[in-house]
Amino acid sequence: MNTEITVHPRLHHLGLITAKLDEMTEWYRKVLGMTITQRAKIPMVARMTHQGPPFSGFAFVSNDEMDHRVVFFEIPKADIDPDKRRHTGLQHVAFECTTMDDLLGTYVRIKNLGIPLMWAADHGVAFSLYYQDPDHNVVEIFFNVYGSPLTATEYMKSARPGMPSQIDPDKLVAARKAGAEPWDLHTRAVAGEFAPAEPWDPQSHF
Amino acid sequence: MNTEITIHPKFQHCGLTTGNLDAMLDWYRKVLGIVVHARVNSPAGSPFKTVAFAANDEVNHRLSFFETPGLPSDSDRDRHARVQHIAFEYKSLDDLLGTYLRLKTLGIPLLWAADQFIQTAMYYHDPEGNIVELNVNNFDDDWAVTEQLQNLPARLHVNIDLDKVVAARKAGASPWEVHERAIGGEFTPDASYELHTTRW
Repeated sequence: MNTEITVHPRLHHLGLITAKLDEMTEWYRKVLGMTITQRAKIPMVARMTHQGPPFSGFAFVSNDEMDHRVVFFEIPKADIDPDKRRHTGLQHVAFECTTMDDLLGTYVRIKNLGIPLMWAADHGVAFSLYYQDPDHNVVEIFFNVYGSPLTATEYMKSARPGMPSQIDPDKLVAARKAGAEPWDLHTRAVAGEFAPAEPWDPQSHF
Repeated sequence: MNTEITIHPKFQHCGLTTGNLDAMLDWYRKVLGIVVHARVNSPAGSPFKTVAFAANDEVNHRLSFFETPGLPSDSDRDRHARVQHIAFEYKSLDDLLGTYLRLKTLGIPLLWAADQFIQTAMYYHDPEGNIVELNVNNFDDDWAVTEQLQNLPARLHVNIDLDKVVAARKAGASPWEVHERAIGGEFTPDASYELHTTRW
């Protein structure tokens, strides 16, 4: 067996702590199409006697062929960190749509569900929508405007530094329905055409 | 449309000139399973008589052959800039070794075989002296191969006798054990390859 050369294992899943297992699995189902592949309760006695994990239960979910993409660990007394912007930890998790129309259609669908958008931007490499799950973890849904991860990598290596171009997705949807191609939407977004009427404050949203 | 950022198109095919299309197609069929999907006469004024498009996978063509009947091989190729080799990758060591035995039975002579740390490779001449490499990665993960390539040992490769490798594999050595034993020198050929007289 190879014990010297670095192997590159693939990013596979993410574990989250929550006090609201039902609410979280439901949110990830509605927003991302995640379904539960396994769910279990940990007997109270196992926790009280320190014979088991410090969780009351867990749920594995996935929205693709992988057995799980997110695993939720339930701790009933866990609460949301009110000061998370000043603490180290997970900043966001991102999911990729294969087309611009899938991204915009998802935006409209989520809006119709009453789930508020946190903010949205054209980052130069991707259109991104940001949402907060019930525990205030930030979930990004994006579309790579270059159509290929290799081209996106070239962009990242070449990237002009700068602030993301904020976008109002409703304006994007209107422009797309009026016939604009994804690349045209990108150039127009970077030019500021789809900026929201009220810009989001980077200090509280980015 | 993106007019600034470099796109990475996939390597798709290469074109070869030939003086004997049938002999070339027969060899590539036997060695690599390449089949002809189109064989067309060139239009008047073309320097070529016939062009054949061929592939051994789902891509419409991996090789195109441009025939000028009687076109000679370059007798001075060692002193000319040119394509040095083209390579094909197997998924497993057993596929490579099984192919080695099959080609040996067909009487197609091996030029060279070596463990090159990143991969185990064997080399053949096609009927016109083009070099064809057949290889298998020594690592399961393509990224690990790249890491190894970025950290190559100074000796670069260790020659191997493929019959010894086949015997070790049949005796139960895993592909990784074969690799370790190869770079340990256990499969070094009794008679060295005549690399300096081979037309590379």
